[in-house]
Amino acid sequence: MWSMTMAQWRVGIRRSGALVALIAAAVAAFTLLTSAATAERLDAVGTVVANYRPAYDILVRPTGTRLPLEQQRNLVQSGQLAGMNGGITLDQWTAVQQIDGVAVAAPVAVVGYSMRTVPVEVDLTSQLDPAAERQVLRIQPTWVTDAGLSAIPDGAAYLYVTRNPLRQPPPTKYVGQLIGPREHSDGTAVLVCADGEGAGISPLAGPARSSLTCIGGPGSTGYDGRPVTAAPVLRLGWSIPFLIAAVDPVAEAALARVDAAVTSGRYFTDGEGPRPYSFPEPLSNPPVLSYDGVPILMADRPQVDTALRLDTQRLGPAAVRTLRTVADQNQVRTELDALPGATVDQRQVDLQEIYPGFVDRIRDPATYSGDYIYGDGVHSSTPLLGTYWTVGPARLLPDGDGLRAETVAQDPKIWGTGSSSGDIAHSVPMELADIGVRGGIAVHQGLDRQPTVVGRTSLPDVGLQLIGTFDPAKVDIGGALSAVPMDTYFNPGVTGADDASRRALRGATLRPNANLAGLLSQPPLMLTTIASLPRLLGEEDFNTHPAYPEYQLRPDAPISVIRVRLAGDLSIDPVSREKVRLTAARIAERTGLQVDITLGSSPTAVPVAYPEGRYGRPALTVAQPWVRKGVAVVLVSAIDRKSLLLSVLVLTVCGLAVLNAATAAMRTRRLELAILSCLGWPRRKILSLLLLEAAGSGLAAGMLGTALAVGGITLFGMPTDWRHATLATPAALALTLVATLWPAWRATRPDPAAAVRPPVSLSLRRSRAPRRISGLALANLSRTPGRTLLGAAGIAIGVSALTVLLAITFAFHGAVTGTLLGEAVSLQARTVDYLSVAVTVLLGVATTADLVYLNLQDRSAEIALLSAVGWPERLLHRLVAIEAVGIGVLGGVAGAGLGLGAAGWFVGHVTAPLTWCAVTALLTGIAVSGLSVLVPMAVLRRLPTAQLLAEE
Amino acid sequence: MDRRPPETGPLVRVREVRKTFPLPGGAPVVAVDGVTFDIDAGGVVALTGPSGSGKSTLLHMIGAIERCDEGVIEVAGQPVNGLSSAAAAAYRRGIGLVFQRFHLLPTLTALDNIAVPVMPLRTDFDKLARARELLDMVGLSDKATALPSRLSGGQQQRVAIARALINRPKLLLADEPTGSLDSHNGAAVMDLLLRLRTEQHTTIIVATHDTGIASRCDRILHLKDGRLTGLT
Repeated sequence: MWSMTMAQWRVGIRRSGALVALIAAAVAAFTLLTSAATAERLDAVGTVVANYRPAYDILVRPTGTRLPLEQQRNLVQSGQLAGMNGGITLDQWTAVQQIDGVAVAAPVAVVGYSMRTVPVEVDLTSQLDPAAERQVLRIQPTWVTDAGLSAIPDGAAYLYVTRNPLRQPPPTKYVGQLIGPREHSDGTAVLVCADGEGAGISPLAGPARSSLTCIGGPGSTGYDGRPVTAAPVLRLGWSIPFLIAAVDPVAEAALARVDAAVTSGRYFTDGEGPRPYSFPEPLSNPPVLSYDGVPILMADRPQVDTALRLDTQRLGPAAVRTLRTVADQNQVRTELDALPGATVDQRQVDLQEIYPGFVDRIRDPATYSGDYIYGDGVHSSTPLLGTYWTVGPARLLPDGDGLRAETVAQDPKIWGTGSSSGDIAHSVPMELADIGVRGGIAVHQGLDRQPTVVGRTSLPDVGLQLIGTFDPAKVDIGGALSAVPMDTYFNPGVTGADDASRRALRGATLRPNANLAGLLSQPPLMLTTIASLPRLLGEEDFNTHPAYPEYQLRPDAPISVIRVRLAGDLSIDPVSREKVRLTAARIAERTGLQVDITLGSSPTAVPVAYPEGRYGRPALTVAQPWVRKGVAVVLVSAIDRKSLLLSVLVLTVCGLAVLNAATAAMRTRRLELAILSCLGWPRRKILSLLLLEAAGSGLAAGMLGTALAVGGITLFGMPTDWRHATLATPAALALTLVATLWPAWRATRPDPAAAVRPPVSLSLRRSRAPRRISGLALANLSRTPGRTLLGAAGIAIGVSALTVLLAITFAFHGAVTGTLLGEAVSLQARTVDYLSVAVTVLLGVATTADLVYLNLQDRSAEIALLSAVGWPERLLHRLVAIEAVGIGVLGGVAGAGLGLGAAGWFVGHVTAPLTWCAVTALLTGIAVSGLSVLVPMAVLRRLPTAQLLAEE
Repeated sequence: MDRRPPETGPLVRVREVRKTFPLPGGAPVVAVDGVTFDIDAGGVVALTGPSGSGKSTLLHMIGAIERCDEGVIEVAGQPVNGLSSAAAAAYRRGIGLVFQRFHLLPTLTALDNIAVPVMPLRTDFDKLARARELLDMVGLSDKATALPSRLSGGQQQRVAIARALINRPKLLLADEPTGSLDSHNGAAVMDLLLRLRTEQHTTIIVATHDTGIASRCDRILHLKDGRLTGLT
């Protein structure tokens, strides 16, 4: 028997070699793919587990603050802290703290925005014309924000510089008289830079934003008659809002390690609250201010996107004439606005440059008491909190797959009152003139608890006492893939959600600016303590105006959110998940608050349509980084199912390829086996012979497959034990024997005469014969249904694999839409996915090509006849191609159906995108089956027509 | 295009035709070696000789199934050798071919087997009507819907002859047309071929080693070892 086996290998060396090569390739591919899939699964699950626990496990919010979209898509919105003014009582916070298993319950209570102003000095010495006796410069400030998309022009600042002395008369103003310095020259005195009347107008109106400053030459004097020497330096005010929020020092340190993020001064002490302070203010009445200072920890860097662009122009002689002939300052500024000028300088100041000025003025107000800049109703460089604003949430309406921010009309009076008298500093930023999408803006004005005394300035009793600064970047907000809303420290900004928006933003990120009513809100730049809230929210200290019932200060329920971290280590196992679920349920039950489990969540983008701004920002659709809950569990489940599915698919495809090859090998030996049978070989002997040959082939294929797998592992640097590759040998042996068993059993059937009949079965019951090439091709397919079905099965497996793998991709995008964790994991998974698709499709092609080739071999005489009777070669090719495509259609439809079913199981339900996946895979299968005829067609060209026709 | 040969002069001209086949690891086998002859239109010629004498090869070269290595073969004045694949196919559609093993397509009925040569082509005649006419001519009009497996050997060969006539060829090449038949069926097939000559003026070349069959032909060309050794 050995000699026969060896002889068989020797004689059929090409076919045996091809069989061994095919099996070796299949098992090597299987070994490599399973290795890669296993390694990939470990990587992917490792990524998920590593990012499983975010900064906090449970988010507690006031009842009714959850948006419908959050409910529908299992999301938690972010960037909304500024619009959440309380809703949770201190008792509820205490109740949360007392629940078993709660390690940290860290509250955040939003107080509101305090507007602070610092001067920006613009030295214009080098822009002056040294030859001019008198000249007027115009400085046009423009606030650049929204990633450079918005340019908001502010009122112009005018500087009149004369070589002649300016002498200020004593302040004896009475109604109707214009006072101001007089320019003395050639024995005459002309009133210039008269003080404006200072009518109260909107702080955003043009007259309130423009200014006029006059600088005289030697001999200039002030009110008191003393000489005045002023350099041509203009001081403009830059106002930005600072969001104040209260935290519990101990809980915040435990949750976010804010104490470790302090960069100067100190962190809060436990239970620290307001303390009485006094502040020497020489210009105030009384000269020493007494107040309760709430402890403030201030961010050491701005998180507001605004820059100041300054364009300096030199105006012509007409400007000087206007200034010397028109006494009313408002009119002077109006007329100067209309005059053209020549640009002599352009510069830009970034907020980062001047931000330390904001910190320093609160830290050491005495040093900056000479700023003469007024903001929020009190001298800006005092620590007093004269006014603060609260805003409502952004008004977001459902819009397709995302949300649409709705423009909300703003009442300009809410920003206070400006003066038309020509001040150079403004108490509110110009960004407030842009559109707003937040309603319910309220202003809260500080009160004086002491009775008003005639002749004594009434000043608020509450002030800000800076105890230190912190670096928001050093706060622990969790990993990037599992970041949860930590609006207390960080606003990541938004990017474009569609191509048009990304183009408009030029790939940049849109960040919060000073517009309190804008879509994006800054995180709190000033932190205080929960113990300070009574002084910040009390009715005795602040008067809310106008009276918006829904946004009254809520000292009874000051807390906006509570972030809860549970005790102990929590993993992705069911026990941990149940523990978190129970704790969340208890919080909801005992407090009645809205509870969201953030454990296992990951950031996801929600598209929000943001209306066009007034100053150049086009309508944008931005991707706001929200959080999807439960992503980790969904991902691990998906990874496990995908891993199992991939292994089964690859194994099935490999097995099918071997089965096809083994069947073909048996078929080619029908005559030989029939002869052996005729010669009296018992069936079991023939079967043993065939299985021995198969075992030999399997062993050889296994060794070759092992070598290929080891080579692949080394070549691709796969993190797999190379010993895994040795599995290829037993796998090949087992696969070959299993795949050979059935065809060998059939080949050894006891009817030797049947075995030597022509291999092509005939359909004798045909009632209608084919009269077209396509009909002839389909008739040919039906002659060998087993072989056709085998080929179709090869394509079916490939197509179903493709369908499932496409569905897996959809599943990652569907079940965990666009979450950072999902993207990271699916990115890791793609290599093996693509390899698997390639292998399954290639094996499908190989199976079909082999089948078509065998068909051609079996029917070579028929093909030769068609050629002999004059069928052109192209028609013969068409006939073969139609047969191959027929197999492709049959297998493709079956595979697409199977794949759709498997994908439905994987995703949970069959969706339209999955159906499209199946259709795509079906078309791919048909196209690939068409490609599989390339080799058989080449064989067709070499068909020995004459020999076949003459063959007896 | 009218493929009919001119009525005068030889229809088939064979000049110094030579054909060899390479053998792996050995010297090439000379199948046809410098054969020259003419066949006039309307004649019935037998190619005789023992197995391996080159009969089939010569017939295949005249039918443009094989190419000769040397020499000239002309049919109706048209050189046959050196035709492109497409031109050879077109040429073969103008002649008739009959084989010993019939080579009927097993999935097609007798009627459709006759129409196979023109099945994928556009014709100026009704293909099925012509096939029925031929089926009637070969006496098998009652077997139109029968599959080849339901026909006897003689019936299958008659269907094959009818198939060869679907394009009204002036030249019919028959390679051992009776080789797979018993003597009765073989004689019937030969009767049919001779009737074709009489009724349709078809020139017929029959390769056969059956002297009885050959004796019924107008001329006999005897081949041995690829050479023409006798002309009668």
